[in-house]
Amino acid sequence: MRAHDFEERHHWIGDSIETESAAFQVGKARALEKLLRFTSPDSDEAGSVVLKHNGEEFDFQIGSRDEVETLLPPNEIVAVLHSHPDGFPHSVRDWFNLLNEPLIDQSHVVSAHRTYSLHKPSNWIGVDIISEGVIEVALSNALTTIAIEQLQQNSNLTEAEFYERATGLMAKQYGIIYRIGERRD
Amino acid sequence: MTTIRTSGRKGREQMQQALEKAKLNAKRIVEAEKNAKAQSQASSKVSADTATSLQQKAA
Repeated sequence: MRAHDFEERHHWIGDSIETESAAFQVGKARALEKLLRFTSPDSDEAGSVVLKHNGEEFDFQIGSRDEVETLLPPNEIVAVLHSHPDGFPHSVRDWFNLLNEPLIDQSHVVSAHRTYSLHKPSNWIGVDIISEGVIEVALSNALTTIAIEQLQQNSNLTEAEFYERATGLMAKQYGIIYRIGERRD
Repeated sequence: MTTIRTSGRKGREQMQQALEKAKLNAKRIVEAEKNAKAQSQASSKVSADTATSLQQKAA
């Protein structure tokens, strides 16, 4: 295992992504390392890293468990990685940031054991600016679909599994690449 | 420069509320589907019984 390589740090399931530069991979692995300490369920703080595609960190902020404010560069495409202490994938606000902010092309949520990754494909056509309310409705619809499947199949899903599957449906809806990375360490 | 805010407590609450609502909605939808199916089966049975009874009378 190459500890400096973001791809190699995980066992990925989901969509495939385009090949990335070694420098970007190293940058993402470093960001992951920085964020791991905020993933414990009792963490009072949260972290966020803004990373350029050349692997250079543009911003790193530590905030309260409730909110982290991060800066984006004026005109450079970046990946945003941030921690979640609850083990949930992207929230409504995380989706809002990714879909509405043209400078963000990747959003990674680092939780205790998993990393949830959303990538805009290079041919992504974008969406009209959408409000958090619209995204909330999309999330509710996706969750309802999963809940119906669960009842029909008589299966038991954890909260995190509900959100993971709903994220998959939302990603399809918005044309976003979605992967779940089980960390190897 | 643009500032973004990552999710926090509000985000978690929003997601948990959405999940609770979704579970309730799903229950209602599945129940409604079951009822509709049961009603449809009941009316098919009534039609079949009526047809049998008419056939017996005709015979």
